[in-house]
Amino acid sequence: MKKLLSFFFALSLPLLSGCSFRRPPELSERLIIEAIGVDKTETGFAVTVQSLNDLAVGADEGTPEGGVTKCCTLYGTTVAEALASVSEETGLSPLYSQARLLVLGYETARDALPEALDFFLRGQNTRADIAVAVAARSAAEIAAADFGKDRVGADVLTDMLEAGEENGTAIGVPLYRFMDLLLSETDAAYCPLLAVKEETASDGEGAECIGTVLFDGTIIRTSLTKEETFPLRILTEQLNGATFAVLSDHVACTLRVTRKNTKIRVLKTPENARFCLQIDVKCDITDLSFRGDPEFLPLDPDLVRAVSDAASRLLTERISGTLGRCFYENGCDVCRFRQRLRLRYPTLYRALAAQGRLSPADLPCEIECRVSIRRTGKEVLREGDRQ
Amino acid sequence: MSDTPFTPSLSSNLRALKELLGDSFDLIVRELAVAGTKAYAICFDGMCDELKIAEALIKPLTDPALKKPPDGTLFEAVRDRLYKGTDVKTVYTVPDAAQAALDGNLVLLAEKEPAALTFSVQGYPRRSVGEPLSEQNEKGTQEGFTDNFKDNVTLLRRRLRTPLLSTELLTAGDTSQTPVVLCFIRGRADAAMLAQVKNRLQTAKLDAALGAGCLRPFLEDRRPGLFKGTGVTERPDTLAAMLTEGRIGVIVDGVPYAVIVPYLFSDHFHTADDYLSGPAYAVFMRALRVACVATAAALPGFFVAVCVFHPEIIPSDIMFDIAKAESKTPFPLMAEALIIHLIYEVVREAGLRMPVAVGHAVSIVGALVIGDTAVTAGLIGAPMLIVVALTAVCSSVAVRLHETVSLIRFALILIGGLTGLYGVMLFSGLMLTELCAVAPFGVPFSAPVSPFVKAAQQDTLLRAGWRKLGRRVTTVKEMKFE
Amino acid sequence: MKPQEKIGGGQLFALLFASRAIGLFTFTVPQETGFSAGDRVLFTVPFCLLCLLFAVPGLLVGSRHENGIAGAARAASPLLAKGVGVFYAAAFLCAAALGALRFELFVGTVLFPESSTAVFTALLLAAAAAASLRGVQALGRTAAVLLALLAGSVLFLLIATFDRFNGLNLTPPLENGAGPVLKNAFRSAGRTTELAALTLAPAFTRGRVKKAAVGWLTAFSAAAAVIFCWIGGVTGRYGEQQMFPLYTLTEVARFGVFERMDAVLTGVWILVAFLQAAFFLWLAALALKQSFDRKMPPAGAFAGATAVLGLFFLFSALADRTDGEATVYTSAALFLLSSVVIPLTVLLAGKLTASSPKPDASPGRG
Repeated sequence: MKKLLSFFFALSLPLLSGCSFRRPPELSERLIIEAIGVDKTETGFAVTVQSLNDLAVGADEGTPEGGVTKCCTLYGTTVAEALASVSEETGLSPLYSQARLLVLGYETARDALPEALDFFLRGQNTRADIAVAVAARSAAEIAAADFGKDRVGADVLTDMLEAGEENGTAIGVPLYRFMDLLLSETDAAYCPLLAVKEETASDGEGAECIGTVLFDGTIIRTSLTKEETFPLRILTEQLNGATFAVLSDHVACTLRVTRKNTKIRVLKTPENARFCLQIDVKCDITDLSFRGDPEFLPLDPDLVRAVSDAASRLLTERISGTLGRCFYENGCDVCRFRQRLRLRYPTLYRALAAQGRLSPADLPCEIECRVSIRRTGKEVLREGDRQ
Repeated sequence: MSDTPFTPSLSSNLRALKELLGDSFDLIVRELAVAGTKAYAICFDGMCDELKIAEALIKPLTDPALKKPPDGTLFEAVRDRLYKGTDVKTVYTVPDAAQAALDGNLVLLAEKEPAALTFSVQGYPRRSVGEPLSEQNEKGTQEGFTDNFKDNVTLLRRRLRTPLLSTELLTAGDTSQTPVVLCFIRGRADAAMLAQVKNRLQTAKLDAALGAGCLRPFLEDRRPGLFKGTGVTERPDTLAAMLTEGRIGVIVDGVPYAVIVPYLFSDHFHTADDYLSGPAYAVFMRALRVACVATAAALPGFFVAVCVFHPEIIPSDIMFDIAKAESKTPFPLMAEALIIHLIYEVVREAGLRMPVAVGHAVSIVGALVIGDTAVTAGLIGAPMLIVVALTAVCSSVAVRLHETVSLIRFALILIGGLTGLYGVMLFSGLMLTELCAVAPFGVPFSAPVSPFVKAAQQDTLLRAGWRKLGRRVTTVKEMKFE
Repeated sequence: MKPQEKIGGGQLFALLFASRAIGLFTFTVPQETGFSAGDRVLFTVPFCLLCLLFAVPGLLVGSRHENGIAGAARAASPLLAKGVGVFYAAAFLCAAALGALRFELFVGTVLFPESSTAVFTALLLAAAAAASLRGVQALGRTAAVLLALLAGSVLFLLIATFDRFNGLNLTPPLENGAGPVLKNAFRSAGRTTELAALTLAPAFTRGRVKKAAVGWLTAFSAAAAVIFCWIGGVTGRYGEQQMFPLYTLTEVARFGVFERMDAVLTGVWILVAFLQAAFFLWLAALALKQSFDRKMPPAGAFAGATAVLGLFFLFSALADRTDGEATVYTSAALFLLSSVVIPLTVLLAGKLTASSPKPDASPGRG
């Protein structure tokens, strides 16, 4: 009897003290958000939310009427205030944890980046690895881009970014990485640049990745094209695999990157530091043709060597161009030179920082890029070269 | 029954015995003349083998050529020279003689003999040795225990032909006086443990011990809990293996199960096939069983907790399908889980209890009505049905843990639905502590995992090859904390 | 306590490690500037050394008597023994309340931001009280299993974030001098109330208490260093902005189709918080039992849990009013008293009692 009384006494304490426990909404009562677009307005922010279409309403089989996703735009003085009104608009409780893509309008990213991102920095329900991108114009048009009734726009865009990472034309950045770079005192942040497609797709407009936006602190400095993004991936040690073409007078060759090794060495000089960028790229020849001549080309070591040299020159030129554009012209330290100096020679770094001598001009860099051909497919060798 | 001794008077002995045994229609009292001395043979009709009685007892005892032995030596003559059978005992009290008759023995009373002879001539109907129904296996023996304790002891002896195998006969149940046999291997079983087991069986306050389940609580800790430090087996090979590890077996007459003491948590995941397959496969299967038990206990509660409180865990691809399916059902997810799991338990119980003739009808009802129609009608969602199906299949893997797993499952569904993963993990922590707290006869239930006993690891989750296993047997004595 | 009721050195290690781990998992980056990611990795060294130093009085007094500090105090003075018993019981209840407070902050921020966390704290303490009744052996074995789970989950986390680790995200240590490192080492050492358990450890541990203690502090510091390094290397400055950086690390972990690992690891942390609370409740009961030589009834565990809940509300209110400073000072005071001051006092009292002349037992002559 005593035990029973003690048990009920102990149980009643939290219940009688007014503590309440709120039952969370069921899955069907939640608005599953897939993508969020943030645009700055005159009075605050316009947040476009792409969510899965109402689950309770819709055919048992097939696509619900209106498509698998729906969009709505919410307004508020802050992003949080705008998003808070989503329940009012839709009657459902928002679920942010499934959101895959965060798009910032160009003007928003240029003028109000910290305000736009603050909600995602603090919110416990948002994903830390949500992909971040900047829209060429407004985020609303990207978030609301039509990819067809059966396709979730956020899925298509994130898949597109992942595919771009494969061929080196896009550089996907999760939120936590983006924030880390933004908050860094040495490094530059970057993220993909999305735009609505000029030509209409078969059943909708669609959107695509057209390059990369670079920041210096929280300010947009410049943007790179898709072609310039490929060397950026090499510089940021994120190239997984890509193909690029090497053209010379006689030969057109497509190379596929199979392995890449980027070494950035910090060399201390009496007055400051300089950097040596050594890039070693191993490629396979995927196709080779003699320009203007319809015959199949036999591969011989000299030809392979020539292709390799041409590729090395090409890559060196492109990498130098991108590095110059990013760091030396716009101050975007994508290679993290300053951070490397800070870690390798902290005393020198502090001294240079105190003297204000950490600008790009004070940190020269040499680039050595070597492309070696690993495999050439089915080789056709001259008689004398057969082992 | 008070210990009334026999007297030399045959009539008074007979009267006392009949008084004790009562006026049952199946009590046979046959008057004999054994070498000119008046005697009575008493037995219960149906309990004894009549042919054996006739051939081994009545025929030699009633031979007219027998010479009358001196007074008081008749029983000696019968026991040593006349009786053709093997098992004969002398009892000196009326209750002992009555118990012997109730055990299926034939009791012989004679004039001027202040004792009775009991002859083991049991012939009651008994089930033949068949397959163990609850512990199937692929490669091992197909013999299982029967309902007769003597047959069961025989099955055990055939597998352990060592003089160190001891079998002590006790009785349990004040009314039922059920024979209970304590089996152990001398030198392997811990003496203190043995004494404790014997003491608990002998002091068990039980009116009728009609099954192993009646005796198990007396062999476990006083404090009731979900985890039991004793186990049962229907297989003589399993019991034999357990005895070699220093455990003690309790064979109860009337049930085809033997109780094993102590029974550790890891034992629930071992089967006979593990030792008859290769080590790699055995390890894989053990890990699978552990995963199945964890799934059976935790999956429904975890599913409810995740879907209601932590949907962020669900991969996006699956989330939409689950949400869509659940949006059509009228019940909240927790209620749905409780209903469908209750239905499963009902179906399972019906499957155990119902007559075979209506088995097909129940299967059809279960499969079609519940499985298909309920989903089509939108009463339950397909994901929940998948969860319950997986749970049902997994819970059949470790049948010995079914009771515990079922209760934990329902508790977790409730807790998961009310408090989410937080409550599920708290409850799991509590269950883990409960599991670790059980220590049957001083052997930790969670051994040899915790406390970690290195030598025993070769046959816990892992299973070493027989060349290594055969070299050394780890006994439970080594796991006992001193 | 009979030898068969005691736990081994390995189980003591597991109990102490698991109990302290909850502080590691719910750590927040101090708000003051200058304590960078590199510093956080380095500070584990002075932290370990400080803890080892502060463990010495407790280990010394514990080794004096088979019942630990309670026995040593009783040998000095029965009154001192009672005082020590009451103090340590209160200290362990306060430690349980502080642990619950730290965990409540995590639960209320991350798991159930919209619900009252008092209910969850009450549930935790009720479960812990029930578990503490099962005795130290059950807790020790549970801790051993949890330690394996803990190690496995952390290892899994490291593997799942391996491809995202970048050493460039770290910062050089001692960039702002040794001040922040030492300050935070002291602060973290001051939160290690498990050191007080070492004073009672001989009462419930079969030998090897010193080895277990040194092993625990060393292993814990090493684990903390690895975890801090990993957090910095993966999440960088973003992680520093978050309330619970380790939780943030689990959010970004990915393994195959499984994306957010946070709930899985949160489960392990809940288990560890439960074990810590149960351990402290049991220690409080042991302290009273050793000093008053009386076994506590089962209801006492729930009474202790109720007291912890009350202390939890008190500390919570104090923390709100003083912006968290009150709990820091309470924890530090508790730590100093239980790990250093009281053990040294008992040691001194023991020495004084041993050296004071005993009264002449022989009868007087003449």
